[in-house]
Amino acid sequence: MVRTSDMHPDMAKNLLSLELPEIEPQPWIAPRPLSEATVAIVTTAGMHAHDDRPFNPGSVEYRLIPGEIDFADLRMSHLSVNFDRSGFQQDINTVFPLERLRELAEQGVIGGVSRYHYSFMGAQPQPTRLEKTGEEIGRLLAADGVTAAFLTPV
Amino acid sequence: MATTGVSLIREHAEGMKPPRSLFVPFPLGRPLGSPDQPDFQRDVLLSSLQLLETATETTLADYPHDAPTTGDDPWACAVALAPPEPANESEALRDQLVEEIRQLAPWHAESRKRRGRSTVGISGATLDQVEDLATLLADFATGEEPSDGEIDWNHPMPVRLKFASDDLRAFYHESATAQPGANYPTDADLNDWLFNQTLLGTVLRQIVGRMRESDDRRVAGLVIGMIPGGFARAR
Repeated sequence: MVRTSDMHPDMAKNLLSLELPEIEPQPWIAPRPLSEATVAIVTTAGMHAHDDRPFNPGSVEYRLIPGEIDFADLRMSHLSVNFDRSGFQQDINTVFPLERLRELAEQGVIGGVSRYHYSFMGAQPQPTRLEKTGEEIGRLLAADGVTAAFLTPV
Repeated sequence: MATTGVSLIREHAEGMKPPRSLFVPFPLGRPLGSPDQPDFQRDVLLSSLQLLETATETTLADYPHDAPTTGDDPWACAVALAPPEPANESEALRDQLVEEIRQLAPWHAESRKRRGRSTVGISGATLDQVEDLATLLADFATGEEPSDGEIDWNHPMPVRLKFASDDLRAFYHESATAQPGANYPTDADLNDWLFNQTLLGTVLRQIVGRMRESDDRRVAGLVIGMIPGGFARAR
């Protein structure tokens, strides 16, 4: 069990002292049944293809991760040192469950897997700075026929 | 676009209220639980995706299981590294660090063979240049002016130090987790090993000490990106 109460006190204090952005409630979207859903992964793990640009601290751009990417080409240039990287180093799915998503599609549990996935730099001092890029990703996903996004932090 | 997801810090999800989220009681950095546990990972993913069908209003659900671990035996690195007292001269410290890297290198080769990949490389160094990363760190740790060397760096100084350190830590982690019986050390196991039982850990602390003393705010600002919370002091 890992909750903030189990963490190193300094880390828990730091995490719980972060100012959270006020986010206006958005209209509720009733999604399609899972068996018809096309799903993309959107991660804030600071991942990117090896030959793409590494993230800089505070980067608000995204990195494109093609659905057919070879896991050997994935890297992580996240700035924060306060999270485990060894799970990612041993098995990319610990952070970016693309193979698990493909399996759910093969089993017919979900309708399909997006052609593209997107990665951001987490640990943003002002998360609202991601709003513009987030909207851009939303448009790109919708234009590509994606009906649901799986959002994962690190 | 309908969204669902996982949250690693429940308090943040409670505050920001994403439409659908599954709180998972896993260590930061492991949103799907544990490596090489496909059934467990799939269950976490599916539990989050199912919120797309079941939630009719803003929902923060709790995943009921802890991440799988290897058992009760404490993890230990199978390469018994005996870090010497770090030398004060850059060249001597570099040689000591390279010696440590060479002790781990056969296990890193096993890691690459088994996993077919390595996550080392965000600094710009290739796997053939891992020992050159030791030069950069040894130079900075002993107060020498670091030279550019042969690496096609992705970042300028001083940010380069952070990503060189991350690459070397990745090399150490991948080596240590390639050993038989060492499949699932926790984050704390690996940090405890690296920062208390290897020369690299000692050198990284030495570097952070120098960063703290620096008049350059860019250098001092990197301190938070070098050593995980709780490991800044030797045990």
